Amino acid sequence: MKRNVDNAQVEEKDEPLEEKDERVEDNVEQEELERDNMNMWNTNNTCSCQKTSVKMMLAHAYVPWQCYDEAFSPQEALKKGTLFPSLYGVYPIPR
Amino acid sequence: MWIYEKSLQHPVKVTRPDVSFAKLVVTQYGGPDGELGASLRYLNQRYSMPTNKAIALLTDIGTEELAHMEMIAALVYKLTEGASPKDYEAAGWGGHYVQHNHGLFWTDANGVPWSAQYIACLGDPIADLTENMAAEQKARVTYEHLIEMTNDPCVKDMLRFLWQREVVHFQRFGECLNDIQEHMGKKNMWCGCNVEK
Repeated sequence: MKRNVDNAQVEEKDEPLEEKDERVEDNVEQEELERDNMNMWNTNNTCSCQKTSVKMMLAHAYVPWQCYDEAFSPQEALKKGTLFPSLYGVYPIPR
Repeated sequence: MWIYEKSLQHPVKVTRPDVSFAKLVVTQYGGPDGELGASLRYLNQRYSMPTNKAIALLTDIGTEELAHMEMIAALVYKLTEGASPKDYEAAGWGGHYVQHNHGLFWTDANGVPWSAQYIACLGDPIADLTENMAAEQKARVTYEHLIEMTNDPCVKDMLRFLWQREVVHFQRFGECLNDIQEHMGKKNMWCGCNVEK
Protein backbone atom coordinates (compact mmCIF):
# COMPACT_ATOMS: atom_id res chain seq x y z
CA MET A 1 0.00 0.00 0.00
CA LYS A 2 1.31 3.37 -0.94
CA ARG A 3 0.47 6.86 -0.01
CA ASN A 4 1.62 10.08 -1.51
CA VAL A 5 3.15 12.23 1.12
CA ASP A 6 5.44 14.90 -0.19
CA ASN A 7 7.00 17.39 2.11
CA ALA A 8 6.04 20.44 0.12
CA GLN A 9 2.47 19.57 0.53
CA VAL A 10 2.83 18.82 4.21
CA GLU A 11 4.43 22.21 4.79
CA GLU A 12 1.47 24.00 3.30
CA LYS A 13 -0.74 22.85 6.12
CA ASP A 14 0.06 24.28 9.49
CA GLU A 15 0.44 21.16 11.53
CA PRO A 16 3.61 20.03 13.27
CA LEU A 17 5.89 18.29 10.77
CA GLU A 18 7.57 15.83 13.13
CA GLU A 19 4.39 14.29 14.28
CA LYS A 20 3.28 13.54 10.77
CA ASP A 21 6.56 12.07 9.56
CA GLU A 22 6.70 9.79 12.50
CA ARG A 23 3.24 8.55 11.92
CA VAL A 24 3.75 7.93 8.25
CA GLU A 25 7.03 6.09 8.66
CA ASP A 26 6.33 4.04 11.72
CA ASN A 27 2.78 3.13 11.70
CA VAL A 28 1.79 1.49 8.46
CA GLU A 29 -0.76 -0.71 10.15
CA GLN A 30 -2.44 2.20 11.84
CA GLU A 31 -2.49 3.97 8.50
CA GLU A 32 -4.28 1.08 6.93
CA LEU A 33 -6.82 1.07 9.72
CA GLU A 34 -7.39 4.76 9.24
CA ARG A 35 -7.92 4.27 5.56
CA ASP A 36 -10.45 1.55 6.25
CA ASN A 37 -12.30 3.84 8.57
CA MET A 38 -12.28 6.42 5.78
CA ASN A 39 -10.98 9.32 7.77
CA MET A 40 -13.56 11.85 6.82
CA TRP A 41 -11.75 15.10 6.50
CA ASN A 42 -8.17 13.95 6.21
CA THR A 43 -7.22 15.80 9.32
CA ASN A 44 -3.93 13.91 9.21
CA ASN A 45 -3.12 15.68 5.92
CA THR A 46 -1.52 12.63 4.40
CA CYS A 47 -3.61 12.78 1.31
CA SER A 48 -3.25 15.24 -1.54
CA CYS A 49 -6.88 15.18 -2.50
CA GLN A 50 -8.01 17.99 -0.27
CA LYS A 51 -6.14 21.22 -0.77
CA THR A 52 -7.88 23.51 1.65
CA SER A 53 -9.30 22.78 5.03
CA VAL A 54 -12.97 23.44 5.08
CA LYS A 55 -15.13 24.04 8.07
CA MET A 56 -18.44 22.34 7.72
CA MET A 57 -21.55 24.46 8.03
CA LEU A 58 -24.99 23.57 9.19
CA ALA A 59 -27.60 22.88 6.52
CA HIS A 60 -25.00 21.82 3.96
CA ALA A 61 -24.21 18.31 2.74
CA TYR A 62 -20.67 16.97 2.51
CA VAL A 63 -19.19 13.68 1.38
CA PRO A 64 -15.81 12.46 2.64
CA TRP A 65 -13.06 12.92 0.06
CA GLN A 66 -11.84 9.69 -1.44
CA CYS A 67 -8.09 9.10 -1.41
CA TYR A 68 -6.48 7.14 -4.20
CA ASP A 69 -4.46 4.54 -2.35
CA GLU A 70 -5.32 1.10 -3.69
CA ALA A 71 -6.71 -0.17 -6.97
CA PHE A 72 -8.15 -3.42 -8.32
CA SER A 73 -6.66 -4.86 -11.49
CA PRO A 74 -8.41 -3.49 -14.61
CA GLN A 75 -10.10 -6.89 -15.18
CA GLU A 76 -11.38 -6.98 -11.62
CA ALA A 77 -12.50 -3.35 -11.80
CA LEU A 78 -14.51 -3.94 -14.97
CA LYS A 79 -16.25 -6.88 -13.29
CA LYS A 80 -16.96 -5.13 -10.02
CA GLY A 81 -17.96 -1.72 -11.29
CA THR A 82 -15.23 0.21 -9.51
CA LEU A 83 -11.47 0.51 -9.62
CA PHE A 84 -11.31 1.28 -5.92
CA PRO A 85 -11.47 -1.25 -3.06
CA SER A 86 -12.36 1.66 -0.78
CA LEU A 87 -15.61 2.18 -2.73
CA TYR A 88 -16.51 -1.50 -2.91
CA GLY A 89 -18.75 -2.77 -0.14
CA VAL A 90 -19.49 0.61 1.46
CA TYR A 91 -23.13 -0.39 1.02
CA PRO A 92 -24.05 -4.07 1.62
CA ILE A 93 -23.48 -5.87 -1.69
CA PRO A 94 -26.81 -7.29 -2.98
CA ARG A 95 -26.67 -11.03 -3.75
CA MET B 1 -20.42 15.37 -29.78
CA TRP B 2 -20.05 11.74 -28.87
CA ILE B 3 -17.94 8.81 -29.94
CA TYR B 4 -19.80 5.52 -30.03
CA GLU B 5 -18.04 2.42 -28.74
CA LYS B 6 -19.58 -0.63 -30.36
CA SER B 7 -19.61 -2.73 -27.21
CA LEU B 8 -21.51 -2.74 -23.96
CA GLN B 9 -19.90 -1.30 -20.84
CA HIS B 10 -20.38 -4.68 -19.16
CA PRO B 11 -21.51 -7.95 -20.79
CA VAL B 12 -25.25 -8.64 -20.69
CA LYS B 13 -26.05 -12.33 -20.44
CA VAL B 14 -29.20 -14.18 -19.44
CA THR B 15 -29.54 -17.86 -18.51
CA ARG B 16 -33.01 -18.04 -20.05
CA PRO B 17 -35.69 -15.65 -21.26
CA ASP B 18 -37.91 -14.36 -18.46
CA VAL B 19 -40.70 -12.05 -19.59
CA SER B 20 -41.92 -11.50 -16.02
CA PHE B 21 -38.55 -10.07 -15.01
CA ALA B 22 -38.32 -8.03 -18.22
CA LYS B 23 -41.56 -6.35 -17.14
CA LEU B 24 -39.93 -5.37 -13.85
CA VAL B 25 -36.44 -4.39 -14.98
CA VAL B 26 -37.81 -2.14 -17.72
CA THR B 27 -38.24 0.43 -14.94
CA GLN B 28 -34.50 1.05 -15.13
CA TYR B 29 -35.02 1.85 -18.82
CA GLY B 30 -37.84 4.38 -18.47
CA GLY B 31 -38.91 4.52 -14.82
CA PRO B 32 -38.56 7.42 -12.37
CA ASP B 33 -35.06 6.38 -11.30
CA GLY B 34 -34.06 4.77 -14.58
CA GLU B 35 -31.11 5.34 -16.88
CA LEU B 36 -32.90 7.52 -19.45
CA GLY B 37 -33.89 10.00 -16.77
CA ALA B 38 -30.42 9.89 -15.23
CA SER B 39 -28.62 10.61 -18.50
CA LEU B 40 -30.94 13.44 -19.51
CA ARG B 41 -30.84 14.96 -16.02
CA TYR B 42 -27.05 15.22 -15.95
CA LEU B 43 -26.53 16.14 -19.59
CA ASN B 44 -29.06 18.96 -19.15
CA GLN B 45 -27.86 20.29 -15.80
CA ARG B 46 -24.27 20.71 -16.92
CA TYR B 47 -24.96 24.02 -18.68
CA SER B 48 -25.68 25.86 -15.47
CA MET B 49 -22.74 24.52 -13.44
CA PRO B 50 -20.26 27.20 -12.31
CA THR B 51 -16.98 25.30 -12.79
CA ASN B 52 -15.51 23.40 -15.72
CA LYS B 53 -14.80 20.47 -13.41
CA ALA B 54 -18.48 20.18 -12.49
CA ILE B 55 -19.52 20.49 -16.14
CA ALA B 56 -17.05 17.75 -17.08
CA LEU B 57 -18.30 15.47 -14.32
CA LEU B 58 -21.92 15.84 -15.42
CA THR B 59 -20.94 15.19 -19.04
CA ASP B 60 -19.00 12.06 -18.05
CA ILE B 61 -21.66 10.60 -15.80
CA GLY B 62 -24.49 11.57 -18.17
CA THR B 63 -22.64 9.81 -20.97
CA GLU B 64 -22.10 6.73 -18.83
CA GLU B 65 -25.82 6.64 -18.00
CA LEU B 66 -26.53 6.42 -21.74
CA ALA B 67 -24.32 3.34 -21.79
CA HIS B 68 -26.30 1.93 -18.86
CA MET B 69 -29.55 2.56 -20.71
CA GLU B 70 -28.07 0.55 -23.57
CA MET B 71 -27.26 -2.32 -21.17
CA ILE B 72 -30.79 -2.35 -19.75
CA ALA B 73 -32.20 -2.26 -23.29
CA ALA B 74 -30.04 -5.27 -24.21
CA LEU B 75 -31.21 -7.06 -21.06
CA VAL B 76 -34.92 -6.47 -21.70
CA TYR B 77 -34.48 -7.56 -25.29
CA LYS B 78 -32.71 -10.77 -24.28
CA LEU B 79 -35.24 -11.57 -21.56
CA THR B 80 -38.06 -11.41 -24.14
CA GLU B 81 -36.21 -13.05 -27.04
CA GLY B 82 -38.41 -15.66 -28.71
CA ALA B 83 -41.31 -15.04 -26.34
CA SER B 84 -44.77 -15.63 -27.83
CA PRO B 85 -47.81 -13.40 -27.25
CA LYS B 86 -48.99 -16.06 -24.81
CA ASP B 87 -45.73 -15.76 -22.85
CA TYR B 88 -46.28 -12.01 -22.56
CA GLU B 89 -49.84 -12.63 -21.45
CA ALA B 90 -48.75 -15.20 -18.86
CA ALA B 91 -46.21 -12.70 -17.50
CA GLY B 92 -48.90 -10.05 -17.14
CA TRP B 93 -47.25 -7.98 -19.88
CA GLY B 94 -49.79 -8.61 -22.66
CA GLY B 95 -50.38 -4.88 -22.93
CA HIS B 96 -46.74 -4.36 -23.87
CA TYR B 97 -46.97 -6.97 -26.61
CA VAL B 98 -50.08 -5.32 -28.03
CA GLN B 99 -48.49 -1.89 -28.10
CA HIS B 100 -44.87 -2.66 -28.89
CA ASN B 101 -44.47 -6.34 -29.87
CA HIS B 102 -40.81 -7.18 -29.13
CA GLY B 103 -39.88 -3.51 -29.27
CA LEU B 104 -38.78 -1.60 -26.21
CA PHE B 105 -40.49 1.32 -24.59
CA TRP B 106 -39.60 3.64 -21.69
CA THR B 107 -41.97 2.73 -18.90
CA ASP B 108 -41.70 1.86 -15.26
CA ALA B 109 -42.54 -1.59 -13.83
CA ASN B 110 -46.25 -0.68 -13.84
CA GLY B 111 -46.33 0.45 -17.46
CA VAL B 112 -46.36 4.17 -16.68
CA PRO B 113 -44.51 5.93 -19.54
CA TRP B 114 -41.38 7.98 -18.93
CA SER B 115 -41.98 11.62 -18.09
CA ALA B 116 -39.81 14.70 -17.84
CA GLN B 117 -41.36 15.15 -14.41
CA TYR B 118 -38.81 12.60 -13.22
CA ILE B 119 -35.97 15.06 -13.69
CA ALA B 120 -35.26 18.54 -12.47
CA CYS B 121 -32.99 21.46 -13.22
CA LEU B 122 -33.21 24.41 -10.87
CA GLY B 123 -30.12 26.12 -12.25
CA ASP B 124 -28.73 26.26 -8.71
CA PRO B 125 -25.67 24.02 -8.47
CA ILE B 126 -26.21 23.04 -4.83
CA ALA B 127 -29.87 22.14 -5.41
CA ASP B 128 -29.06 20.29 -8.64
CA LEU B 129 -26.14 18.31 -7.25
CA THR B 130 -28.18 17.36 -4.20
CA GLU B 131 -30.93 16.13 -6.53
CA ASN B 132 -28.35 14.02 -8.36
CA MET B 133 -27.11 12.46 -5.15
CA ALA B 134 -30.68 11.56 -4.23
CA ALA B 135 -31.20 10.16 -7.74
CA GLU B 136 -28.16 7.89 -7.39
CA GLN B 137 -29.45 6.61 -4.05
CA LYS B 138 -32.89 5.90 -5.49
CA ALA B 139 -31.36 4.06 -8.44
CA ARG B 140 -29.14 2.05 -6.07
CA VAL B 141 -32.14 0.90 -4.05
CA THR B 142 -34.14 0.09 -7.20
CA TYR B 143 -31.29 -2.18 -8.33
CA GLU B 144 -31.31 -3.85 -4.91
CA HIS B 145 -35.05 -4.53 -5.26
CA LEU B 146 -34.56 -5.89 -8.77
CA ILE B 147 -31.71 -8.18 -7.70
CA GLU B 148 -34.05 -9.62 -5.05
CA MET B 149 -36.65 -10.31 -7.74
CA THR B 150 -34.54 -12.54 -10.02
CA ASN B 151 -32.89 -15.93 -9.55
CA ASP B 152 -30.78 -15.71 -12.71
CA PRO B 153 -27.11 -15.41 -11.62
CA CYS B 154 -26.09 -13.80 -14.94
CA VAL B 155 -28.74 -11.13 -14.56
CA LYS B 156 -27.86 -10.56 -10.90
CA ASP B 157 -24.21 -10.12 -11.88
CA MET B 158 -24.93 -7.48 -14.49
CA LEU B 159 -27.38 -5.61 -12.25
CA ARG B 160 -24.79 -5.67 -9.45
CA PHE B 161 -22.33 -3.91 -11.76
CA LEU B 162 -24.88 -1.15 -12.42
CA TRP B 163 -25.66 -1.02 -8.68
CA GLN B 164 -21.99 -0.39 -7.90
CA ARG B 165 -21.83 2.39 -10.48
CA GLU B 166 -24.60 4.19 -8.61
CA VAL B 167 -22.47 4.06 -5.45
CA VAL B 168 -19.47 5.44 -7.33
CA HIS B 169 -21.53 8.23 -8.89
CA PHE B 170 -22.90 9.21 -5.48
CA GLN B 171 -19.33 9.61 -4.24
CA ARG B 172 -18.36 11.71 -7.27
CA PHE B 173 -21.40 14.00 -7.02
CA GLY B 174 -20.70 14.39 -3.31
CA GLU B 175 -17.09 15.42 -3.98
CA CYS B 176 -18.39 17.80 -6.64
CA LEU B 177 -20.78 19.31 -4.10
CA ASN B 178 -17.88 19.80 -1.67
CA ASP B 179 -15.98 21.58 -4.44
CA ILE B 180 -18.88 23.76 -5.52
CA GLN B 181 -19.69 24.85 -1.98
CA GLU B 182 -16.06 25.82 -1.50
CA HIS B 183 -16.01 27.62 -4.85
CA MET B 184 -19.13 29.59 -4.01
CA GLY B 185 -17.73 30.48 -0.59
CA LYS B 186 -14.55 31.88 -2.18
CA LYS B 187 -16.47 33.91 -4.70
CA ASN B 188 -18.73 35.27 -1.98
CA MET B 189 -21.57 34.12 -4.15
CA TRP B 190 -22.96 32.11 -1.33
CA CYS B 191 -21.82 31.03 2.11
CA GLY B 192 -21.27 27.50 0.86
CA CYS B 193 -18.56 26.96 3.44
CA ASN B 194 -16.00 28.78 5.52
CA VAL B 195 -12.65 28.58 3.83
CA GLU B 196 -9.71 28.92 6.18
CA LYS B 197 -7.07 30.93 4.39
